[in-house]
Amino acid sequence: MVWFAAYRWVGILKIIPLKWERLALAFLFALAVKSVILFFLVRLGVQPTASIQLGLSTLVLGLALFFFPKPSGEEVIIPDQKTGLAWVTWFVVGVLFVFSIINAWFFPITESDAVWYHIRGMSFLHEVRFDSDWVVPQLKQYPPFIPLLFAYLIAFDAGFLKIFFPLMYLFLNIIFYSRVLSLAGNKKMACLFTMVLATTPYFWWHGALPFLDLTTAVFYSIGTLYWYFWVKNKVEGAIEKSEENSYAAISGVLLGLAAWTRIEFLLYDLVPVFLTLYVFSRYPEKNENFKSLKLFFSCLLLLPSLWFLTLLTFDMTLWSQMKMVGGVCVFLWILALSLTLAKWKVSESDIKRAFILAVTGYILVLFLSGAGPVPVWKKFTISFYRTFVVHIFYLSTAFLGIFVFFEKLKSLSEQKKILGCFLILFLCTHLAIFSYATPKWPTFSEFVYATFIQPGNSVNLSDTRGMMSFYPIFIFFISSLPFVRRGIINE
Amino acid sequence: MNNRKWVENTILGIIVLNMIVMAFVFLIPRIQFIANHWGWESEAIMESSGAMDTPNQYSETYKVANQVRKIVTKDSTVFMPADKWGFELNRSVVIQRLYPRKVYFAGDSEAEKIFSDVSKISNSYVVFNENGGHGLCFKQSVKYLEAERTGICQIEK
Repeated sequence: MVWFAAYRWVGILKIIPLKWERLALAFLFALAVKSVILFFLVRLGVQPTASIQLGLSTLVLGLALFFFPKPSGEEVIIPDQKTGLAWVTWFVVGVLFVFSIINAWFFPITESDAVWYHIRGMSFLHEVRFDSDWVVPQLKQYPPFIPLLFAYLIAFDAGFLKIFFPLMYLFLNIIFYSRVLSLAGNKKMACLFTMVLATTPYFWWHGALPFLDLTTAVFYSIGTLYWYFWVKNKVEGAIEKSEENSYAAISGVLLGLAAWTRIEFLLYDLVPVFLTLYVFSRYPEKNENFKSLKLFFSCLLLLPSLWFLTLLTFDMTLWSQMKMVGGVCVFLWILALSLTLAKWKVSESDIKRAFILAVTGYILVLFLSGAGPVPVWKKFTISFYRTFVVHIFYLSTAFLGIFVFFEKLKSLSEQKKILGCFLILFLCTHLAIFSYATPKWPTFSEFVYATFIQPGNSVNLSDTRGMMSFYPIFIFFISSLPFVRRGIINE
Repeated sequence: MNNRKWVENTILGIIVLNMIVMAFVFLIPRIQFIANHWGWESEAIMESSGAMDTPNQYSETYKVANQVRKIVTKDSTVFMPADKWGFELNRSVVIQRLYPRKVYFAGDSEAEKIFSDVSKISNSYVVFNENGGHGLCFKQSVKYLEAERTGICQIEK
């Protein structure tokens, strides 16, 4: 019911012409709506039993039918595209999805952190509170998205809690395919790059594992792809205000959902926020539509802010990292309100100064807070090493990077340069986050050992998993390079 | 080789390499595991060694927790020794398997308070091993679990 309601909403946005993409995106939004319904029920002290959930889902459906008109159902036909490769691609994705479903169904939840998510799901349902005494303090502070989804299924006595993860894998591939197709206008390119993504072992693996990371990667990377279309059309000056608002809302919601799943992704969200401001400062005459900015910021910040407000009601000391991310959330609200309500004008030089200030500030914070067991320089070296070396776990997909060396980067279009900057800034943010965090092992040699001699120890570390959000964007960027396009399409 | 062939072949090579690695590291071992354990109950799989890529670190804890779960009722309170099991007892697993039963671990401050007058708590059980809990089961009927020198008793009021 909620899926259908979300499908109606996606339909009226009028920027997603492909039906399968609309269905896939609607599924992600349906999960978001479901989680928000459950969140408010628990917050209000109402046990989210199956009957209450069904009642509220019916209400959401009714509202959607009343307020959102039936989508026109127009499908964009891509001409000259009768390629058998599409069948091969969807056969491969389909087979991998079925294997993923079988694995998720067969293996119960026994993985360390996932056990806690399962407990949290049960406690949301039975205790009707977010701060159960049975959950350890650190895990209690994690955002509630996945445990809420577990609570949703537990309320219906469904045993197959891991079903969301294979579905995430499938819908990631569908949306990725559709976005490459929208950009390149060529099915062969969409098929080849979707197969690269779908066959990347790390993605398939996490499609059967009940962790937060694939879900975060799906939200973050897809949010970034829609954000890219917003920026691209804005730079090209070829966008209507309603479309601009739609892209801003979709990308904002998805980037917010990434932080609703893994709170540190609010820090990674600084990358699209920064680049959005850059684009708005660079093209001031084209960007009088502050509604899109308002939508983008409010959609992005709404869910993480809800969680931070909830954390304030907990009778416990908050984790210092959580306080820091909460500070970033407050900063983003101030920035958003200044830009949209106080009509703050930001120039290109302001953006450059802000960037230099942010980097300097970060270095100061790093050194001032460096009283832990591992010296700052060592933490930085380890993080630097890890940021570059974790790519071996993405195996041959990382080799796509060689195409960058064959491209004339200077002659790339402005929007592609922005996407390239996005990837570089993502890596810098990743480096910064893990330079701040306490490393799992205190010495550099232990990391080298765990990477090359006993990779099983580091293949699933938090920084390796976090890099999943990078890869769909990276593959998309490679697919957009003119050199690659010329190599695939006979133009 | 012209540009067209080179780019396309590189991408196809990446896909093929990915599929080979995926098959040998994940798919084939997992299919073998599923085939070998087909028809097993979910609880038995929890107690197994797990798939090659995600070895089950808590199989011993699951064995103990699943046995306790079969004995105690849903509204009961369970006291567990925290240490000296001969393996690392994972608390999250015990809570996961016994939820919504209340579980207290010896050594925790709250548990010690409740332990001090355990007979006042209705429907409470004590799990004991060679490290602790025996005293509370004194004069009670005891059921022995599969782990060596480990048992459980219900505390009568």
